[in-house]
Amino acid sequence: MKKLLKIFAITLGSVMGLSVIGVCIIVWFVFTPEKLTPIVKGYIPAFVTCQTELDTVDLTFFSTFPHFGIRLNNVALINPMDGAPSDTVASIKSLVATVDVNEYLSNANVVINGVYIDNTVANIYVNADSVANYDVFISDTTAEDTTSSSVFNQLAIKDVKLTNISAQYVDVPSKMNASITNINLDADMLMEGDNITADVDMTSDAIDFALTDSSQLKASVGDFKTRFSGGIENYNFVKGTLNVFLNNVSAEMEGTKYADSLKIQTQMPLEVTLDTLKIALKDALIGINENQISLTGDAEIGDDIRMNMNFSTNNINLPTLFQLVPEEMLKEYLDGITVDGDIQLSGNVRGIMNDTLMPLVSADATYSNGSVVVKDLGHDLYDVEATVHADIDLNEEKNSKVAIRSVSAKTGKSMVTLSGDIQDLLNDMDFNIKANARVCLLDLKNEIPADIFVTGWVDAVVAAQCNLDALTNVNLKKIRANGTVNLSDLDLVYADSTFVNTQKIAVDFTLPSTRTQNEFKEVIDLAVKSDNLHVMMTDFFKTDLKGTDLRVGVSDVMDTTKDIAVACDFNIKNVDYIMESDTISATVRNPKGTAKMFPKGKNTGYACVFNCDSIYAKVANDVAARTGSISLKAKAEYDENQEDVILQWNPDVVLNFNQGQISVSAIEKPIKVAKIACDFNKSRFKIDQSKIILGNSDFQLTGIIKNIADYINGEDLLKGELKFTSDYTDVMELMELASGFGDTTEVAVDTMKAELAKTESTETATIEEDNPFMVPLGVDVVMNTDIKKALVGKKVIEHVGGGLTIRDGVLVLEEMGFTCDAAQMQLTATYRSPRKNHLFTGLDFHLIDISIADLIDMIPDIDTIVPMLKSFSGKAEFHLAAETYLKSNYEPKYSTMLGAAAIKGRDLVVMDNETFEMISKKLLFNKKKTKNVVDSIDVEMTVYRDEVELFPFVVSMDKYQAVLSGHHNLDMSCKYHISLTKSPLPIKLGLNLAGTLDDLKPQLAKCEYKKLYKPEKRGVVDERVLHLKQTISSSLQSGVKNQDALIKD
Amino acid sequence: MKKILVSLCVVLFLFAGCNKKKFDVADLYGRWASGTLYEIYNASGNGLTWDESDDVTEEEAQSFTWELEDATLTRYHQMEGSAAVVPKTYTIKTLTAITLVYETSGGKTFTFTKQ
Repeated sequence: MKKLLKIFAITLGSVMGLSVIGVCIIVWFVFTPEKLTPIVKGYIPAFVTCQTELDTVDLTFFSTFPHFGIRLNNVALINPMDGAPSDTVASIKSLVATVDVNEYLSNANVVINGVYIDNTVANIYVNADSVANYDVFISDTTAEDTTSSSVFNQLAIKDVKLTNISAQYVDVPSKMNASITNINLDADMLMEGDNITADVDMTSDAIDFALTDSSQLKASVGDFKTRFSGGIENYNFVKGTLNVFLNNVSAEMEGTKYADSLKIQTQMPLEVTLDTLKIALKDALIGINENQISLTGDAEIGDDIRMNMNFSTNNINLPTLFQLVPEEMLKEYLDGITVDGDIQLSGNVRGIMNDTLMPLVSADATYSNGSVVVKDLGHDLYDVEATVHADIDLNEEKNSKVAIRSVSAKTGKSMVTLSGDIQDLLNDMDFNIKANARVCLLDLKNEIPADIFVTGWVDAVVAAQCNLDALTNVNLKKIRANGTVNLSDLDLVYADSTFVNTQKIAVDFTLPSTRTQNEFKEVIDLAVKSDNLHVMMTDFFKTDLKGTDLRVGVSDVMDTTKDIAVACDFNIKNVDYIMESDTISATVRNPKGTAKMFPKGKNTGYACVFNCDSIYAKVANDVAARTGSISLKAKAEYDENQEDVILQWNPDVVLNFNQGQISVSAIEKPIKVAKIACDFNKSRFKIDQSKIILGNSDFQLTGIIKNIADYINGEDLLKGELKFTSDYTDVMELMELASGFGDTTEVAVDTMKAELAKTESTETATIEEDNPFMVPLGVDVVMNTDIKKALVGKKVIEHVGGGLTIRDGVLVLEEMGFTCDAAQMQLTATYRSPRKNHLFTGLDFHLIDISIADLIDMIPDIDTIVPMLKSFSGKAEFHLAAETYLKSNYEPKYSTMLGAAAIKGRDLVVMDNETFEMISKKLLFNKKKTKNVVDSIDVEMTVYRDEVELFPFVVSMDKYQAVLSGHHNLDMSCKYHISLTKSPLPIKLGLNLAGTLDDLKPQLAKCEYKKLYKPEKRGVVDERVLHLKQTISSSLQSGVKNQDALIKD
Repeated sequence: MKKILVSLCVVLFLFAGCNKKKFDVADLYGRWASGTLYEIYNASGNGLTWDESDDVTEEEAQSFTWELEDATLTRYHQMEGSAAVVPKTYTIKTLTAITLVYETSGGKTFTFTKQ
């Protein structure tokens, strides 16, 4: 066995030795370069037209073992062209090709075992005439023999190695320069029938590309590696994996860097059908730096591109992604914005892409760990998370949409979450968003004006539907939104002077509003509720609102063509209001109603319906008012072009007021208002009902004031007719209550001036002007009275009727008639106000059939002027007329004072009193024998300036007759005379009484009127005196009207 | 003696007749002033009176009608607010072209100077 092995080894060694010797002989002696080179050179002109260089061609074996190979050394194509960077189109230092001859001979397979090209340089140049220096190859013009079968069964290129290949490309017409350096390629390929398998690796050190046109495009790649492993079936179906790695990829165009030192890599398992150009990818990875996108699907590239491709990225860190975006673009879109976080995309691209169609894109995006900082915004967003889904249909753009699964972000202590969708993404962008927010108001300090400091929390739930146009233009008519905004622990300070505080306030809003208003289109609907709301302005007011329930409707606030309209339904349990500066306080219980403000033509309209259960108001210690229910309906139309406030506002008010009580410090007793029902507009003021109780008095005031607008415009008189009805009126109490009301203690200006003029005082004085009642001009108002019972002093008068008239500057208490136990009465009083310091007042007063005692009781001043009157008892008539002008403080101007009075008495009884006692004693009356009955007296008296003149009047009593006269001054001095014209005495006595009323000094005197009442003896003077008495009496009595007519319906 | 008594009676009668002073009414016409008090007597029998110390102007003066009989000046003041008339009598003490002195029925004396 051992010997057998030895023989075999020797045999094999011999064969191998012989083979090596044979090969050596073939390589070195048969196919020498000297023999092969001319052969190859001889074939070159058949392929190229340019000058070529070829050093040698030799046969290789050992370097290509176990196959023979042909090696061409230093091959060069030389085609000089002007402008070309080199005359050499290409130079190859070494080109080796090995062929498996045996395989071909045995199996008709072409097996190229290796192709090796080393150190190749190519210089491709296309000149300005588009002539390329590589256009040197002769094309095969022979027709392809399609009938013959293939000359080989299988083609295999087992090993292709290109080493250190560099190329430069210059295209003058295209202004293109490109170069690639140190390409190394290692490829194995097997072609069998219609099937090819290949395994290719290629690297290069650098690739540069530049366009010198206006785009100034520059691109470069550092390391370039690519590998394809796969095959082609039937020359049609490519299946394999393509890996590409590009390092230091940079691109720049027009000075803008679009890529800088990028690392791009792909790992692309693919299947390509060549006839249909259909590419299928599965888990293909494309990466740029650390960002990757995975592709799975297929694309078919024909006239159309049909694709169905799923894609998915890794978690892409946005800052690293932004590094891929040109700086200029970042500045344009993200200037001042810093975004951090990771984004992950996945989705699908499906459909046809051509000139008219685009594929559908469906993608999910997740943004996590995000933060957004916008310079100067003042809100740094953090913990930003977002999950959205987008469907992009560029064919039917309306179908493009985004579903916002969730978006959340925080800033400061605030946070907001969103969800919803955006339809018609590429055009109108119809938003349907739901948002929840919890906002710390301190976080909004940058948005809130500097003079407002506010703390608290806002919890909001908002749903909104609108499109982008409506949103950007804040077109409220096209925004549908509703939600609830809850403010809690709200503390607001405005300008360090206004404070608003509430524990909780809830605002529900609906946009557009579903409510309708007659006056305007309501767009915003707000419902505001708060249990407790405090508002305070320092040194002004503070108010507490409890149980506030507001429903506010607002018009389109963005419509600049119209003023804003507002309607507010309010229902508040309690309002407490205090105005500190004026110490005014008010409490309104359960106010409810509606207030509106709206444009009306060129004007502004207002409407208000107000109801409340009660109001309590207090103004310092001066006024306190407490009311029952109040019902108010008011409308107004503000016209700024009008001057008068009534015409400016054009009000229309209906007021119902119940159970009120008003206390005024100047009036001792409260004013009780049982009911007031009235309405007011620019044409009229109508009091339908009013019932007021003041002290012991009750009265009702009804009626109408008309022509208000015409009066204001100076076109007509202000006309009115009012009715004052009272069951019981305590006149004196009312006068006492009203006494001092509105009194001004300061001296009137004119009065003061007059006083200064009188005294010629040079001292300066602080003068404050009085404000007396000025009777309006152009007014014609009548107030008729109907008082069933009135208490005057101690007397009850009944059926008080008459009219209070204000007619063009004159106030007249006209023919006021009444009756009482003591008398029938008639009063006419007049007040005019020509100017503030010249006020006229006058009265005409008649008492018919009154007892003298009642007269004195009713008008005590009578006793002062006619002190002896109280000595009589019985019925009398009293007629009085008096008038004077007043100063602005209502002091009389004595120089203008006029007065006249007449007293007529019949069957009077002389009372036994102190005065009568004194007179009787002086005139020697025999009281025991004198019947103290007076048939009649006719007293006339006048007042002129400061002097009262009592005209002579006769008193007849039994056997006595006396005539009395006198003067009485307002300084209380007086002088009276009594002439005893008839008596049992033989002489006619006279008695003078002089002094003051408290101290009258009697003195016997001449009997002055002994002929006055003796017609046959009267002189001229006596006749004149009687004439004057008659003038006074008749003129006074001419003012007495029919009593029955005084009581008016 | 009887002649003396008769002569004395004639003198007394004459003196008695002199008590009834008569003045030229024409002297009364015109505008009179007594301090701040003014009065105007017109020939038509109308007149005006006002007192500037009470801040009353001539346009606001109180009107009256007047008559002069011997030394008795009677003024009738018609009230503005009623039909009542207030008559006032004055006894003229002096009436010249420039001076008017009268006494009210209450005994007050006023002296006027014509303007």
